[in-house]
Amino acid sequence: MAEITTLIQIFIWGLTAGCIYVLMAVGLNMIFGVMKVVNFAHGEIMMLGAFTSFWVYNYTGINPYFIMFISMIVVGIFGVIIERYGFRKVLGTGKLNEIFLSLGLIYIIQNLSVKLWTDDIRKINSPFSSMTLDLGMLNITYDRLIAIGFTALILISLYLFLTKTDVGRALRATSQNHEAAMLMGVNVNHMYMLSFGIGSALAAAAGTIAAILTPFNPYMGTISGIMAFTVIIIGGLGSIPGAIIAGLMLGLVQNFTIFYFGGAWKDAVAFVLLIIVLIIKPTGLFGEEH
Amino acid sequence: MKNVKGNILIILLILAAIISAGCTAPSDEVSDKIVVPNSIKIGLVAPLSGGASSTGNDMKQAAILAVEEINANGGVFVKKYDAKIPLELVEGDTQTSPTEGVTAVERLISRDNVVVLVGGFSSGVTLANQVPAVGKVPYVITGASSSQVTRRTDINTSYFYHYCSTTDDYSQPILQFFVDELKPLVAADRDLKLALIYRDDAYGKGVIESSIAYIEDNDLPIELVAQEKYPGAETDFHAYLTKIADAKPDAVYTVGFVQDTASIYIQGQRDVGLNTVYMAVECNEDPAFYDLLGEWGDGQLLESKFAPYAPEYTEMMKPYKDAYLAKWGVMPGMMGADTYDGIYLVASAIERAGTLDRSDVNNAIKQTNEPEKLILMEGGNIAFDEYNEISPRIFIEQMFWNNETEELIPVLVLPEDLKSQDFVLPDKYEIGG
Amino acid sequence: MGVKELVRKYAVSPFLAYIPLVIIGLILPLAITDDFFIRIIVLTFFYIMYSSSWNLLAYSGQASLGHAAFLGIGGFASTILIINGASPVVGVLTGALTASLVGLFLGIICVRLKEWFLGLVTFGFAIIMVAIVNESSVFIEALNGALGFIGLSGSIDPHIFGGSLGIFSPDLVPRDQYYYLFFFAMMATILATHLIIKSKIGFAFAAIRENQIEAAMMGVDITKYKLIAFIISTFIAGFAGALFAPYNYFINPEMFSVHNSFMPIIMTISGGIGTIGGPVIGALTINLIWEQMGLWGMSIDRLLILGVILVLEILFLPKGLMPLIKKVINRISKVMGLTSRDMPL
Repeated sequence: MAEITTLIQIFIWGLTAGCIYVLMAVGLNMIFGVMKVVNFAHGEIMMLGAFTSFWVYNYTGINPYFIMFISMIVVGIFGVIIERYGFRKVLGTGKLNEIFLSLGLIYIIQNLSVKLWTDDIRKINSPFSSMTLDLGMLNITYDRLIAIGFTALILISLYLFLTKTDVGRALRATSQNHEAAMLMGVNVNHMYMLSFGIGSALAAAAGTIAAILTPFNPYMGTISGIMAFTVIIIGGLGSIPGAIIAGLMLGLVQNFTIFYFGGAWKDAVAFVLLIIVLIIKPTGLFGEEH
Repeated sequence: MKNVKGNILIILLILAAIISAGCTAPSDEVSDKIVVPNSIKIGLVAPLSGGASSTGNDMKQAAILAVEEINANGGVFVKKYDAKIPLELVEGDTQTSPTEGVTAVERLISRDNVVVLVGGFSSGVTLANQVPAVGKVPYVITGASSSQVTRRTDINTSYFYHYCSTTDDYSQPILQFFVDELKPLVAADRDLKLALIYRDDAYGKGVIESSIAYIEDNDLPIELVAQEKYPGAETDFHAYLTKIADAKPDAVYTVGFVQDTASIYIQGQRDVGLNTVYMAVECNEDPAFYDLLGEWGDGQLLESKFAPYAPEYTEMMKPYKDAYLAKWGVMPGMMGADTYDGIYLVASAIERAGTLDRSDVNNAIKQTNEPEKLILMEGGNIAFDEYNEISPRIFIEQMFWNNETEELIPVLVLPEDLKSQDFVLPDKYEIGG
Repeated sequence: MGVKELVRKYAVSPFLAYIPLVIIGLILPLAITDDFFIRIIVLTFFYIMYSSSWNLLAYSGQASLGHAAFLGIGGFASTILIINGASPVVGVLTGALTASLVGLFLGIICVRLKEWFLGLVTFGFAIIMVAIVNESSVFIEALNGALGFIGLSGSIDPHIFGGSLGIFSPDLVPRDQYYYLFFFAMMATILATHLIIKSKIGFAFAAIRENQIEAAMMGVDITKYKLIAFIISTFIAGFAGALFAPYNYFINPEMFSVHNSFMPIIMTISGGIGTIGGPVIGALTINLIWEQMGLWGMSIDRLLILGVILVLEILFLPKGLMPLIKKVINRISKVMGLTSRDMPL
């Protein structure tokens, strides 16, 4: 029987891993809500976020938590470009084309990154990397606490943006009903670009946090991106609270799986969960019945 | 009728595609008339891309260095042609994948017609890609430590040579080191608690199996308190290490490649608070390993058989290091040193064989008996035993972080006759139990 | 009677026009001494089978993103049987049947799912298979786990392999044994997919793909036909995997890799999704390009190029090369004063 401090420690690893899934899944949920588009390459956008932060950090050496915001902007713009010149072109030609396009993007973004930056593992050293909060029996690294704090901060800002600003409200209106939003004078194409931009920016934040916590290389994103889809299905399509709870849950389940059953099951358990949820409640834990 | 013509057109199109895409003229066979070949082709099998590319490139750079040195003297004298013929290195990229490895070796053998193969990194990859060479092409394996590469019974292994330490070669000194050097300092009155963390592949499993067998057969005072395996692409070791920390080991024995091993050392000490002694095996003797570790390597251990950073212990080290640095601008690693020796070994065998016939070259390699080069041998000579294995000397290095130069520098703490100092416990070491 | 009349009389089926192609296929190994080239061709045959299997499932509107699961199941099941003494024929067929059985099971889970839900579940299933196979040795040592089975050419002698099928002369070299084995397997696959797609079953598949609700209204049993698509498609994938393992000398969990799942998708889309000839043309072109790039020493670059090809095709050539090829042939036929009916592609 493991000691209780060990279990708390695993809980913290799981919670922070979950924060990364939450940021990914909330972004994806937004894109899906507004555009109904399926982007399996979301993980590659996360990886670009990690690399953007890495290079800015490498050349300037400033605090990576500050760089995270630069990375969000840069990658957000990149997301807009992908939307405008990629997904927009196949919009309405069938979901399969979107899936295949995103598979192509996975190959391109991942291998171009390997080509440009090699596949050596990289690390971003936060100034707090060797500092821990000493709770007697247990040490929690500052970076983990900051990761949780930043995730909360980003989610609250997003919530305020969506509920308190006109643009945010227009975005939500588009997500609920395209035609009605158009009639009210919302430029739907702008909303597409905006949602893709915000989703990509959230992925960049996720990538930066992931890169501070663990070493990474261009292969970091593929499984994470697809995992984020399982999160939004488990949580319920379109449900932001569902994505948050399912994301945290997945992080916890994965880390406890490593602890109790071994690393081989880490990724598999997510899909086992997905299949169970789809069999028992196909609309997800918090999804609405259609 | 019209259909038929249309379809024939399709067929012609497809044929044109086939022929233009893949077909090249068959290679020239040696005729009765003796034509001196332009070069002696040597196939280098290495992971030049993919997860282990830093190691693969070390192998490639060392091989190029050896080939250029030999060619600077005109190449290898082959009696049959009564001429010196330069070596030509043909690369086969395994991409650290068994499937791509098989394709690469197939190509080297049947398309490039190499005389001999050198290299082969990662046991899992090599065990697969040596099969196309069975009974056809001699293969000097310089980077796969599973003893299965020359001892497997499912194929004929008479063309395979293991120029590399086997899992048995290094498990034994490592475990003996724990018992002789570490145990008296931390667990004098009880069994030493050892945790294992390893890659889930042929290499990881090979090391673990031979370690467990050695502990049991010799009744070593070692208790295995944790055995964790991880998938090859893992980067996040926090949960694994927390589980290991829960077992309170006196030492952690890691079996991985450069990137995973460095991550384990760092995450274990920095994040999980597992302040113990970490030991890694020889394929981590690579400049990238020292770079990645930085200050987190302080006081930690590395098993090796080639130590370019340590105080010089053999005459050949300095010229090799200088030449490598001058040509490539980086320090050499261990897998490269194996491969460098491998190229010289092959060149001398070809010269002794006096022909470029693969089976004659194979016989010549088998009969190798010459002085050691970069890799030191027990007894001082390179020779293959009944399993086509060499007997390399194994070192244990302890790394120390120099705060002023900001460098991680290793010193030899084993073997007795070469070591420059005794093993000391790392500063932050906490006894397990 | 002139030649033209002769041909017209006996060329009752446009398929007879493929006879020259078959003959070329039959004599190819005799004409080519380059072993590596034969290997590429054999791999192409393998990919044609594997892509056809994916294409058949997609034809029923179910695009799998984890088809490597069935390739691997077929390979592992067959390998385990054969190295434990089963005859190769029994091994390969059982391997394919096992894949098919698991396919039926996954099909039942997927029957209610659409598009990307289905994509995620199938993708995830391949990941689950990796874990199961990796951990199998914890329960049964002989399953070897992550190590898989190596040196299959030692345990599975191609002479026995081909010879026991009773078709090939034992004098054939292993290279040609495998060549003909894959050649006939590929022919059988193409023929089978053709017959299925042109049959009532194929009609039902297409109806489901185009509009599930309308298909149901027309009286098509959606569940039944979706499951049939899964059973047949995974059988072929398992069959291809069972043949591939001994040819490639080893099998390990790499067989389930994401790349192996995506390859038939890229090939089929390149040729033309939902056509019989699509996977053939696609596997041929993509595999030849792929191997040629390998010969040029490209590794990362060729993955990159594969991605570029896929994106360009989705954006500019969503129907693949097939319509283009047909157009070129029609153009040529017209120039030559011929008019060409639709090819049975």
